[in-house]
Amino acid sequence: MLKSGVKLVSIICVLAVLLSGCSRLADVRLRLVVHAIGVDIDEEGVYSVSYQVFSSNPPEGGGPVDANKGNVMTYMTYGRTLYEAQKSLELQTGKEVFTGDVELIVLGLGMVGRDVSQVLSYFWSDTDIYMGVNAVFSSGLASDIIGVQLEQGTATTELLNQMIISSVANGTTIPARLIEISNCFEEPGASIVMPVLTAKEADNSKGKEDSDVYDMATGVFENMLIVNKIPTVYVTRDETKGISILTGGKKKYSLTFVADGQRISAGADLSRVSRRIRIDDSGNPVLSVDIRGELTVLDNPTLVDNDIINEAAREDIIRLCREAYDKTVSSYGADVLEIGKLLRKHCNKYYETVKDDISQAIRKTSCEVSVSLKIYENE
Amino acid sequence: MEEKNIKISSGQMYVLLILARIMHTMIFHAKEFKIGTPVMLALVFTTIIESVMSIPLILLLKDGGCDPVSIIAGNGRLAVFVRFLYSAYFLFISAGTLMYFAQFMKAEFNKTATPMAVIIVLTLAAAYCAYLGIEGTARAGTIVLWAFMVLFVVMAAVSEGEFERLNLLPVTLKDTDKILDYAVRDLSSSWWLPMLASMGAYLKNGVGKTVGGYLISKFLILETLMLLVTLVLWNFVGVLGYPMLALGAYAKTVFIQRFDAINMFVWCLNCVIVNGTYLFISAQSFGEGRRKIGVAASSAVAAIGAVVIFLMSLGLNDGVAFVIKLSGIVLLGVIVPLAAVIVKKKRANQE
Repeated sequence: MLKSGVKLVSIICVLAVLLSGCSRLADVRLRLVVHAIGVDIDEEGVYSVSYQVFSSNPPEGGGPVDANKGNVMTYMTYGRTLYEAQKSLELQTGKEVFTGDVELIVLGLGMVGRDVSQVLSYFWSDTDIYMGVNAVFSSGLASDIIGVQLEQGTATTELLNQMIISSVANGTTIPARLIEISNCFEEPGASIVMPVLTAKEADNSKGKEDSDVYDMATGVFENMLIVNKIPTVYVTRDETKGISILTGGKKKYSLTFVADGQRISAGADLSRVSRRIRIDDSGNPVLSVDIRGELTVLDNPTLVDNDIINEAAREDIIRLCREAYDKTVSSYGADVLEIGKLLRKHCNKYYETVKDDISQAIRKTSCEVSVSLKIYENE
Repeated sequence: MEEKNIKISSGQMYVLLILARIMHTMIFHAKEFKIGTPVMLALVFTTIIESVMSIPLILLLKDGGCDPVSIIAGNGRLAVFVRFLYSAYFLFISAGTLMYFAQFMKAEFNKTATPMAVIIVLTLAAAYCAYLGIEGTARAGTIVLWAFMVLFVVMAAVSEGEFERLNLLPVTLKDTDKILDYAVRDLSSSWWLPMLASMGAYLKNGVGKTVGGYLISKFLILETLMLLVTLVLWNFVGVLGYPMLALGAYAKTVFIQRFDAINMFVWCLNCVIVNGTYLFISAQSFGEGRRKIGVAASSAVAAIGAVVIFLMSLGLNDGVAFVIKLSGIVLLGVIVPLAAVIVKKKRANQE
């Protein structure tokens, strides 16, 4: 019995040594738990990195941290590399930086025209950071987004993410998570759309001159088109909606359009988006997108006829698709519609001949869209 | 010290074989190697080839355990030499497992103890397994296999990624090189054949179900992993390098996101069990020597041997390692059992 016990204890001890990762316990006050990271760059290539971190200072008199109060802090460091900036943060605070809780990565507008893969690869190579983290652009400095003060205490990053999720639900943005960006950047002619977060000071202080909390008009109001890993041009919410429809990325959209001179609000459930690609007689690719779904009329005050609404909705969807195609494929040869992947899968011989200059092939790709909707009146 | 090697069932043998294969998959680094449909097709071919290669073993062990070396050469010099080959081969395999595990730990869990410390502790634990005997190791292996299966299913089930069917590219003639490359790589990791041959003497019953179960399980586990990698993770595997580890890196539950400790725990347990089995094979291949120096001493010698070979093979060329592995599989996993089948049949005919 004693012998078995000794054996058991020995085994446990051996395993305990193996689990040495768990032995590095550190007081939470000695750890800097980062929630969001913002990266700005100046003309000389120096990074200004802002970190939104959890402030674990307990309330006066002790007790647990109150989640409803402002428990986030923002630090700003500088460096020639992101690693240098992070080391600088550790030196500045005397704490060990923990990036395992990062929920958002924000790139400043200074990144426009620069290869963002050099910055983002730093984050996806960090095995602590979850690969589903959203990466976004800021309409100004990334530090403006990281330092934004919202009323709900510690949940600032969660609220920012919630804003992205809401925009995704409306179809006005497409989430760009680290894993998707990493995968996209490995493809020839890598192009992707990233949400742009805006934080503008709103004029609704209601006379509270000394208030620390100032309301910001914060949200995703536009998107950034990344072409060949370089942020190139803004994409409107309608154009983004068109991209989302053309790629079948989402099923439900809210539409507002004019039918018979009346403004109609409807929900579209585009459950079947079938995409085919072929090479036409002139040797250029043609992308055919067949969209089928259901339309639920939500607001039709003057009782416009269903057939007219159906036609107007079809035209609106085709308009969104055309705008998306014109802005991305036609103007910039940006492969946000996954034309390269479709060619590689379905027209492999053609793909092999053009893969070295895929942007040209994408630019030459024409797009046919057919929309078929069944209409349901909201009772 | 009394010998603790009790015979094991075909189910327990299956557990040890599949754990060894899983260990190899766990520490397989994709590097520039791209997982996709050509590789999935290659696995179909290698499974067929492995099935054919296993026929001598199935014929030899169909009615229960026997020792192919004894059948061929009794206890003569040839037997000592062949046993030495088995012993050296599995010390080499053990050293390779330790080396790749050390690289894995260094790359992914760099905040843990130094790789050498981890290797020494793992080897000590493995030597203890070898000392306890194959039956105890197989019993512990059953628990580890369950733990692994739960982890694998949980990681796959909670993956946040969406299936991207465009990643399932058609296989063309251009992929022939890739298919051949993977097929040869996969076949060079089929040391389950010499493993089964060397442990034949410890089998209680027939081996047909063990081989069938192993080949089907290996095929399903690897194809599932490759399908998930292709559909969900795609190029991202190149970032982490380890396909099975990458599977957990994109899980939507916080529990699995913080999977490092859980994975490390199961990885380590598996490493101990698998290396314990390799050391056991090496130690028992000492034959008479093992009985003279004792079970504990022979296990310790095997463990030291594995670490020494690990240190010696640090700068070993991949090509040389590949030739050693493949030669061992053919010689010790196919030719020796085949020779034993022929000798056994001749003796039966003479009687």
